[in-house]
This record gives sequence, C-alpha cells and structure tokens, in this order.
Amino acid sequence: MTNDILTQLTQVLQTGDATAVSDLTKLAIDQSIGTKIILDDGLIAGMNIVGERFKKHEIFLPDLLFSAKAFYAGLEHLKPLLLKEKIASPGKVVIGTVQGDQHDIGKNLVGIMLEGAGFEVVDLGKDVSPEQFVDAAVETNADVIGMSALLTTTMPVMKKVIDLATERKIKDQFKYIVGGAPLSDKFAKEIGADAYCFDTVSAVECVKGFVKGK
Amino acid sequence: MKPQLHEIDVDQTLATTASLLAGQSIPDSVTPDDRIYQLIKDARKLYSDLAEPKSLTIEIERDQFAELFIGERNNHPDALLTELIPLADSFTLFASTAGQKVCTEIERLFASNEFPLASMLDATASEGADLVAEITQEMIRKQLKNNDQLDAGQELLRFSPGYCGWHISGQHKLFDTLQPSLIGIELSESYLMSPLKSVSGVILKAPIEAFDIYDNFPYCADCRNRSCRDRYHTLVAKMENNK
Repeated sequence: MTNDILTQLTQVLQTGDATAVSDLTKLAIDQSIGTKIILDDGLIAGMNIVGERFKKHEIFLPDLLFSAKAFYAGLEHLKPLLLKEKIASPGKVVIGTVQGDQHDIGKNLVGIMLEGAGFEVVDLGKDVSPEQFVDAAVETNADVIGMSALLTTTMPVMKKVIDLATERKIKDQFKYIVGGAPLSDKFAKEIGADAYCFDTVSAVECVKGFVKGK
Repeated sequence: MKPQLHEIDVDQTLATTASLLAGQSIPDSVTPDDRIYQLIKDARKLYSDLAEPKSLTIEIERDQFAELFIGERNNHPDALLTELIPLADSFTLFASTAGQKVCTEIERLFASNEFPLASMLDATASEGADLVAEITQEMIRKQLKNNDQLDAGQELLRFSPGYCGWHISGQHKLFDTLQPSLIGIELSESYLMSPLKSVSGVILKAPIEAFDIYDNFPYCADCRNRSCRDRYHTLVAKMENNK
C-alpha cells in the first residue's frame, strides 16, 4: 500500500498534476507513511526523474515548472510535519542575484529546483551585496552560496563575495556556485568559485555533490 | 531638443507563440502538449491585459553623448561605443518599458507558486520590452527618413549600459539627461530599472559598415547572446530586401 501511494505520487508529480499530488500527499499522511519517506521517496524521487528528463531534453522548462508547482502543492502538507518532527534538510543554500543586477528568473528557477531536491533555500532576492551574501550564509549556517548574474558588468561582484569571505577567514565554510548567461567554467575557476552551473539541473547536481562530500 | 513620449499599441509588442516556444528551447521538430499552448495563450492574454508599453526619447548632440557615455569612468577601455561615437551622426537616448502592472503580476504568480505561468509571462514581458525598444527605434528611423536625415547606406542600431563594455553605471547620466521618470521608469542606486521589464540606451545613426561589429572584444568572451551581431545582420538583410 505504502509503495503504491508513493509510486503514484511520483508518477502524478511527473505529469505536473498539482491537485493529484496534493491529494496523494494527504492520503500518504493519513496512511501514516513517514513524513521523510513521503518527501524522499515520493516528491523528491519524482522531481529527480523530472530533472533527469529535462537534462536529456525529453521535457522542457514549462514541463519542469508544472512538476515544480505540483511538488510545492504536496510540500505544503508536509512542511508543518517536517518542522514538528524536526526533520532537517540535507543542506542549506543561500542564493541571490548579485548587486547591480536585476535579472532573477534564473535564480528563482534554481531555488525552486533546489527545494524540489529537498534543500533548504534562503533566497536573498536580487541586487544582493557581497556583505548580504556572506552575512546570510553565516547567520543561517549555509552549506553553499549560489550567485546569479546576467550582466557582464555585474559578474565581478561574484568575486567580491568570495574575496569578502576570504577576508573574514570563513571562505572554506561554504561552497560557491555561480550561474547566469554570460558566465563560464573558466570564469568560475578564475574567481575561486567551486562550480559554474549552466542550468537549474546542474545547480542541483553540484549542490548534491558538495553536501554529499561534506 | 525636447523629450518625445511614445505610447505604443500593446498588440505590437505581443510576442508570438512561435517565438515563445523558441525561447523555451523547444525545437521546431517537437510538438509540445496542449497544456504548453494553453500556458502561452494565458501568458499572452495576461500580457495584453496588463502591459502598458511606452517609451521616451531625446536626441542629443555628439559631444553631449560623448560626455554622458564617459559616465562615471567605469567603461571598459575597449568599449565599442568609443569607436562608434565618431562614426555616428545622430544620438537618440531612449527608455522603454512594458509597464509596472505586468511586472507586479509576474512577482505575484511566482509568490503563489504558479511557476509555469509566472515564467511564461516573464518571457512574454521580456520579449515585449525588447519589442517596445525595437518599435521605438523604428519610430526614430521613420522620423529621420521623413525629415531626409537618413542617407542611403545609413542605419540605426541601439546599445545599452551593461553591454558591449558600456558600464551599467552609465545609466546614471543617461537617466539625468532623459528623465525616464516621465514614463514611470525609476533608477535605483545600483542602477536597477523599475519596472523590471524596461530597456534604456542610445540609438545611433551611422553608415551601416560602422555597425559591422567584430565580436572579439575582451568582454565579448563573457557574452553569449551576441545580439549586437544579430541586429547588425538583421539590418543588412533589411537593406538587401529593400534594394
């Protein structure tokens, strides 16, 4: 019975049916399936498959977002239980669009997919200063700082974030991922970031890798 | 010169279904399912209902633009416009926007977890804002042509702070001169425009050869969209068609 519900949950999540995901999550809770099992083996398992299919270009951004919306419909029911049962996320990521840049759609999508993978996301929004990034990472005890930029002229702010953490002698407390249209692997290496993520799925994979390696 | 306000018909700035599909990286060979078509239909409807496209322009002298372009002295030493300013003979500052209402709706949709529609409306509004800038450029072109100020072989191309080595801080002096607050566009201390779906910059008139921009400037390595080249090729194609 447990496996049936979780399999169904994974399947309807892939189709992006938010109502069905909501109903099945409630049913799973009513059936006393463990909160973490519903999250990991139902919702996140479904999102993992969706992410893989997106990576293989079998589905496209709107499909991914229909599934993300469905994921959140299920997560709404689980959130109070996760808090009550003090179930920790596998990791925490502070994300933001760097100072001087206004483009936040990519950053938003990365945040959605990271939550879809079970991570706790602290979204600082856009036009985020180096101090705000570093302070938030310290305050929330984050594992990863994720920075986004679309303008070539705002890319240097990413280096300022890493330099500031270095200056405060806390650089190694965090991993640093960067993303945005004008960026490259080379740029990430030059500024001392740990990874350049070219899309939402690669961002999730990077964060998973970093958290696993801790 | 006095600033000119241009009210633009929203339908002229409405992205097509084909361009929105292409923007989602959905190849022509793939037939998306009906829900994606419905999503595009809903996003286009919302955009039509909420967008308030308008733009503001002002023509200034070369010297005035050259000073404005220097801005806060943050431009790349090889900024493209440094080469183009002496070659151009008309400088029109512009600011264009799809309006605040559509931007507010995108934020509301994201906050309500309506990610597919939020993202599609965002794409529609981004294209809309670019189309407002494109239409504004075309209006300037028509005005110049009607006034016999567009010589054979001359064309218009637009550039914005934040691209092609023109530092984003260039927005400051551009806004001081143009005053885009007249159409509701404000600039933050860190040079962010509000409404978000706004474009500002300069429209240059120059011999078309001047716009044959090579793309190996140091900053081009960091730029993937190459829209400067795309626009140049579009201009050349238009000129060829008009021959």
